[in-house]
Amino acid sequence: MRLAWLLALAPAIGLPWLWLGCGGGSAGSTGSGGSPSSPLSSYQPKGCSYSVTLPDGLDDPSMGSSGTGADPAPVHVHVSWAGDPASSFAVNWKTGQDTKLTELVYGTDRSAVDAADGAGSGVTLQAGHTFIFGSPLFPTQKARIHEVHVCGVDAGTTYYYKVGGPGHWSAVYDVATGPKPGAAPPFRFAVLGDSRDDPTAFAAIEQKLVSEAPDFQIFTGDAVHTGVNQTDWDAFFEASSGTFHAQDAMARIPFMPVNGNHENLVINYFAQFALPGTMSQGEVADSEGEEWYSFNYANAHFVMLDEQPTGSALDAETQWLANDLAKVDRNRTPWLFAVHHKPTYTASNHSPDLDARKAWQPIYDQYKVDFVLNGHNHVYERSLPIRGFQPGTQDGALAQADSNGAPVNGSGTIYLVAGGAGAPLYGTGTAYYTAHTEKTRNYAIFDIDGTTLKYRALRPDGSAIESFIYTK
Amino acid sequence: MSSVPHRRALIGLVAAFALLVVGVGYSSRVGAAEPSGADRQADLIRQAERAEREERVDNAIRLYGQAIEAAPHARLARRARARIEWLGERSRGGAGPLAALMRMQQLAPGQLTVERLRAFEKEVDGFPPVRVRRESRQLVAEAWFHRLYRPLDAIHAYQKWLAEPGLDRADWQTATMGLALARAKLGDLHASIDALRRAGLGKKAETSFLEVERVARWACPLSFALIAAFVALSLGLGGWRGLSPSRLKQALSPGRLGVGAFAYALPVVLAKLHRPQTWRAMLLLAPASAGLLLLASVMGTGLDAARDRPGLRRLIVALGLLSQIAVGFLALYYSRTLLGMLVSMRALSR
Repeated sequence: MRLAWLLALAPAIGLPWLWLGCGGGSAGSTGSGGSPSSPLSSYQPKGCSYSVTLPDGLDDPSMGSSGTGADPAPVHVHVSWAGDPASSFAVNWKTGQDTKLTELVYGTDRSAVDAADGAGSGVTLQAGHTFIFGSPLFPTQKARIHEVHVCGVDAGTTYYYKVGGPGHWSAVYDVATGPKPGAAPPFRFAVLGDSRDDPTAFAAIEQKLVSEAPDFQIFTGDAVHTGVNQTDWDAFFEASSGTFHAQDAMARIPFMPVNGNHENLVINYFAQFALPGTMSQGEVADSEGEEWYSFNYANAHFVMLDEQPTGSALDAETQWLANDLAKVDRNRTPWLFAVHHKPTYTASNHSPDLDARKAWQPIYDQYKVDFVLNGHNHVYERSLPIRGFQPGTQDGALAQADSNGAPVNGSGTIYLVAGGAGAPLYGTGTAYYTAHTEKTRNYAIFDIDGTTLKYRALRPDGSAIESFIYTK
Repeated sequence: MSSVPHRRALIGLVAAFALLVVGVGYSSRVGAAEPSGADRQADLIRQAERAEREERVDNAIRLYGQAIEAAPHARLARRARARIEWLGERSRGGAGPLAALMRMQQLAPGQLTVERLRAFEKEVDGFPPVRVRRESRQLVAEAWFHRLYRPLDAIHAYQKWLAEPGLDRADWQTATMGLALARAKLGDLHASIDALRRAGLGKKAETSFLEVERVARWACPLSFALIAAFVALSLGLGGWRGLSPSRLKQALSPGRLGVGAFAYALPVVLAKLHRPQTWRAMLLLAPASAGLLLLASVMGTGLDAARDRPGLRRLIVALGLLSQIAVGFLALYYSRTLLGMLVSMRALSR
């Protein structure tokens, strides 16, 4: 009788331990919770239609848990999209290495989120994963990163959130989801790049962005000087200008970067940003699909590329680009933007990337890409509309332009170099395709309202380098 | 059986149906007459932005406020709140100064003239000492220096900016940097570098640029002088005899040209392929070094006057070596690689 009683009781005692051991208690995941013997490699965040895959070689990759260490306060908080901007957002942050709290609470009521210590009335809790990474070149620079993905939220809505865990929360930030795909309400995005050596200059531009309130920012690469040096990344995320901290912008304005030659596809880049990651042929293994990607926002489509590959990898990326643009429904998303670090049309210090021009311009021309956004040269430089090549050459042919050098009825692609967010400025040059160029720190603001695009290029003092309106 | 209950039920049903029809019709008319909150908000944002462009600041703030009320949790409400904060903070000195600043900020390329900037600078002197005046000072100083290339006017403007009350550290550093660069443009590199170091800006790329320029001021003429001295001394001591056609033909044999091409052209090709940021330096360094070496080896065969004078021979060899170093320095300087190296070293030492 006693034996029967014990046998009946055993599952009741053992089951919770089994459940905990398999990662139960985590508020936001399906998939393996990770443990020292079976590190977390991928999982599907709760409510998300995509999976998150972690690169190899990370230390202690696992779902977050309750452990805290010496530095539990979340720092380097920044937001991006790994899924549909209309229904998701993802947040990364850093803590001390011993802190494994990886939670995010969010809702539409700021005071409720501020007061929350977990899920509650109008406040949802989402958990994520955490890991330690570091470059073998700088063995003492290991960093612990946390990442949470929030999905299934409403389009066009402002959400308030904080990250960390009970007793160790960050400040409350707000982020807005995008409009429903294909919808055409007004939206705004910023373009900047090459912050590199001057975090103060970068922070000053981020401060300007807060007052412009773009819905997201495109970063054209070279965030830091030395990609494997985590000290550079720390300086980037901790950039400040006076009393303003760049984190206050980056935690609120989704940051969508491309790889630059200074990031150089190192683990520090992929580990610290959550980007759309569907692995495709040719991408480096550590990228887990983030080396190149695309996303829609309202009635615009963005392809985010990496021009560093050569040979078969470049061929694979080119094929991916062609396939991606072929699927774009121009009735729903009439605006097309391509982004990569090295420009294919520039008259400044670094020569144009002719390999990328040869591989990609035919595709840009075929699908009538509206703008190609680049960095690399630390200047402001904008081309006249270009479509096709001059006969027998690899030089772009100028297309019809209005008095401001803007396209007429989609006549051509404008190539923009916005590489002035902090790196040492270069001298300018002019070529036959140059519409405007200036040796100045700069950023660009695109306002899209249906079929009208208002473009402004700005200096850090708020003055306009140039502006024009382009209606399709 | 009585028909009254049936009749009452029927009347009740018909009345309910009629009420339903009227209610639906009314609500659809209401729905058609009034746009959704989000649409109305977008419209109000457009109106507010037009008001901003037309410098009707109070109107813009009012419209942004209405946009927030239309849909307080919607995406565009954030933009409205940000603009209200920005405009409100800068309206403290009155709408006039802000409108004047916005007018200057929106000038198209080519519209900024000396007269226009001078007039605005004078107007700024009359602004109350609030944020919009500080930002106006910044615009004026940066425009004098970076857009109209008038360093003397820029120096005065940066000094006025630095004298503004309430300047935060970031603005102070930007103004200090601008002042130092403007002074450097007028020739005073030492004082500019000194000021930047004292301001804690010693590791900035602009400071590195001035330091390189300071070195180049004496190093470039010295380099050219060394190369010229080497060539002149070699020629004067009989080196010109080595430049005869037969000796040149001997010196430029296919074998030697092949070795020279391998030694000097290959690095250029490799740099172009694998280290493009050093390619320009290689492009200057390789032919200059090769040319100097060729010249030295050719002239050396004719240095009869130095044959029995070891001191002179040693001098020529020393000048030759120094000339090679000079060629290296000039290649690194003119290709901007020297500046890039200094900036990178400072970045790595952070």
